[in-house]
Amino acid sequence: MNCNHDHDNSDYSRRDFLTKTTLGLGGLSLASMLNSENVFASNKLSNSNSLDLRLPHFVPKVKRVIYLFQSGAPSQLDLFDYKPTLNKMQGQELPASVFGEQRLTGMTAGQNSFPLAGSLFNFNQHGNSGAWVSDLMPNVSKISDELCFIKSMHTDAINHDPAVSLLQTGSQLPGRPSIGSWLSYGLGTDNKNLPGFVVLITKDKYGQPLYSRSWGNGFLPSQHQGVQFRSGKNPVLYLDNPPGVTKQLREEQLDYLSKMQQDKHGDIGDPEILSRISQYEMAFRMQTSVPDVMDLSKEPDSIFEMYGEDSRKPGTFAANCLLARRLIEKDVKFVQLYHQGWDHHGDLPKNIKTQCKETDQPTAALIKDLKQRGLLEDTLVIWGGEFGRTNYSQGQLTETNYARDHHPACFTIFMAGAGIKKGITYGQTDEFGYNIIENPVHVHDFQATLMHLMGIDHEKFTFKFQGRRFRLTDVHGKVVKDILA
Amino acid sequence: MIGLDLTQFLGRLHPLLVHLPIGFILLALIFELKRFRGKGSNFNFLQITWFIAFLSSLFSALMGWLLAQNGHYIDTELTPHQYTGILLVLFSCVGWILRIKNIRLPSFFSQINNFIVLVLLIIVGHLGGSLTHGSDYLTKYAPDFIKLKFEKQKNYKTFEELPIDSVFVFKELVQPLLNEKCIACHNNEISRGGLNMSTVEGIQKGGKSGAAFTGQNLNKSLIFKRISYSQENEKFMPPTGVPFSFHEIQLIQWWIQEGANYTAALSEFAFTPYIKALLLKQYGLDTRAKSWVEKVKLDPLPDSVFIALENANFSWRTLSQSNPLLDVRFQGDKLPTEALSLLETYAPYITWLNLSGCEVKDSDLKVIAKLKNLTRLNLQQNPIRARDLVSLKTLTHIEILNLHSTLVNQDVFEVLKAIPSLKKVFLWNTRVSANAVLKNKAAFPQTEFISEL
Repeated sequence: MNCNHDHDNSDYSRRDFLTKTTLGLGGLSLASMLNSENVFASNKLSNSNSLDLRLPHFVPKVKRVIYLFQSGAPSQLDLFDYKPTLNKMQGQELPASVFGEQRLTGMTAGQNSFPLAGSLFNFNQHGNSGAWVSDLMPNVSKISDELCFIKSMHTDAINHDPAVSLLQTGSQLPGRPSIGSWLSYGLGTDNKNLPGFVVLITKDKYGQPLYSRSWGNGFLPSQHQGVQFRSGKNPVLYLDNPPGVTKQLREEQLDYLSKMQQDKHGDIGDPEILSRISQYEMAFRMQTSVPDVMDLSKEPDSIFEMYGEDSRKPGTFAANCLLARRLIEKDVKFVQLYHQGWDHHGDLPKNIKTQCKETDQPTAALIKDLKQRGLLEDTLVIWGGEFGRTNYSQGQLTETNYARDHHPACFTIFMAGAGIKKGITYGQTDEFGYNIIENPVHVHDFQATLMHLMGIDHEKFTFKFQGRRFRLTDVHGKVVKDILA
Repeated sequence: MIGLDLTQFLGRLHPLLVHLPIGFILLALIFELKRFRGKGSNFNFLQITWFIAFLSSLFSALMGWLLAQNGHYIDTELTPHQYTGILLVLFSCVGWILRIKNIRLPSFFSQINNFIVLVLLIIVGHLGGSLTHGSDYLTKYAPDFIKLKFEKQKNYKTFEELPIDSVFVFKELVQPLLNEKCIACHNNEISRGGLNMSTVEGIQKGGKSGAAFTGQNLNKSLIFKRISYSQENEKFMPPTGVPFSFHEIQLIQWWIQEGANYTAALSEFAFTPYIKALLLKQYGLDTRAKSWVEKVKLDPLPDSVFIALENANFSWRTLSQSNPLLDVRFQGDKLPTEALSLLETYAPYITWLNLSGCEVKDSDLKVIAKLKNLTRLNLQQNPIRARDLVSLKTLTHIEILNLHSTLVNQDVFEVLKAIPSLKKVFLWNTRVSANAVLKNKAAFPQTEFISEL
């Protein structure tokens, strides 16, 4: 849906005509003077959009991204942000001076007491970098020298959906384009047979719901929305031909449909029709490219062992990690995995173990696999949730059990790969793991940094919609230069 | 100091007093015009006017001489004002003499004298004004078209195309600043305070009060102290003219803190982020380590090239909007010879090349070896042997070579010794064992080998 182009029966509205003739035609004639060979040739090129936008702004460090999104918000205090003070003060009240004016959710706002809950899990320093990782992540801890931990992430939202929206689209309110869509729109796709933005979701996980608008295109042309690849017979729904329809028949049908759509576009000039045509064409090409990329039968056993036994079961996080690597090898620009089930309002020690068992080994294996194939030279892997969890227990604190509520004031993510420093920990929280005391990184700063790594100045990359130029980072965001390699 | 104070007190009357002779000289000149002269009745009046003009100019010249004793003026600027001032006094005296009754010379003489006095008056007045108010006083707020004619733009020398190991910090960055601000009073002829800054030896020697610069010690670097005082301070330098700008002081401070080395090149210095930005902005000196792709400067390719690349089944991308170098990947299973010769046509532009899994052969590598600006080469999943790589030694800028899942064996190390620019080589899933990598690591201090993890 693109409201800038509400036209009737002509390619150009009055407004378009005036804009184009005052500046547009002048620019056009300038272009023809500078490059007399072919001014309009860019329309034929696959990268035409990024050429028109003059992107990337500078030489990118990162060409592709895998974002392992841990939906529900994993507890940083039980995984990476080691706070022995909490164990020492186990059961004592969270001091008011630390609590400050932090907003609470409805789930704990009514609690009479906020007993500090130390982690039940052992922490150790790992690798040359001495990064703290708990025993819950034995495989990730082994590759900690490849990782860049940011312990000072913070967000504005206190509930899941606004927080996920903020992280994925730069706004708590639904409707803005997601990071992957911005990148697909701005940089185009390097493999014309696959979409530039693919989403993989772990099967049969529950918890906080995921909405497809988290990978939606918002107001950007719709071919830039994330395409969800599912496990099972039909990875992309409705992609296969129905029984009895041959490839040739489908091709003829699409050719004719394309002609009709071109005619319609000639009538009303809605650019969304062009998006639709390109999507049909992409879908047709995907009929061969998707089965090829989803076919794991040629992967050797050693690879399955590396990612864990789960990786043989389609739809698991492990299998999706393996798929992510295959998509990256094929130059898909942005692969986003979603793994639900981190929202531990009850029985945290038990539940977090299951979550870690499902994700620890595949995450580490993915990073190692990318590294040995040389893909980590221009790929960035991001692991993280939408916010953190509280240092006090939600509900009753016992010796063997506790739970943690939402905590937007600090959380930990880690990254690995191109353009960022390896084996560092950036930012610091106080000894209670409640407030940030050093180098805070807001969600918008993280997004600005991600764009920077892709060669984009986040302040210059805009899209005009409803009379306003929009950015992923809205009017915020500062590139975190300290972590850049 | 009483004596000096008194001379300064009187001296400072000079700028005040000078307006008196200006007025009287102008008055005299106006009445010299014929139309104001009656039949000689005004003769006496002219004589008196000239006399007062002469007397007041003599006094103000004396005051000026006293003022010049404070040494705050730059000699090259002061001397012309001094001499023309003295001349003006003399010629106004001549004007007076010419109008004394009993001296009767042809009017021709007095006309010439009047003209000389007028010209001198303008010159002396302007030079004096420039001394007091600064040379840009008149033009500072002038409309642009006037301003551009008169004002010399402050231009720092730019070094954009120079590598930073051939920029000498003292000679090319610090000394020009000193020459601009200090050398007028601290040179071979006049070395105020015993400091001669026209030579490096002179600067190293320092002045009467102490060392000009002491490495890593700002307190013992008198020049730094004097230029960074408050401008109100008696000892502030330079005493007249435009002071050192904040950036210039920062640059000198950094040079001192880095050891005040007179001969070192920029590449031998350590930088703070501020200095990095300063060098980049004021001098166009980019101290960030630059990769080869940022150094190569080529004209952008026309779109027809990209169409040809796409028709040959390459995906492509220019590195950035301002960098026309190409990142190219072959998208098929088998690389045809024609496709490679297309790349050869645009050889200098190809810098990142991905030819994974498309049956690259020995003969193909010979063509690839001609892509002289190649920095990343992905050859994984091809039937390549170690000896095929010999031809790649012509690639002097290659940094990343991906050979995973190829047929290379441990001979590869011998071959790669000929390519010292390599930073990373990927050897996973080849015939090179992890042991062989360990054994050969020492011979490649600059190169990282990635095999089994």
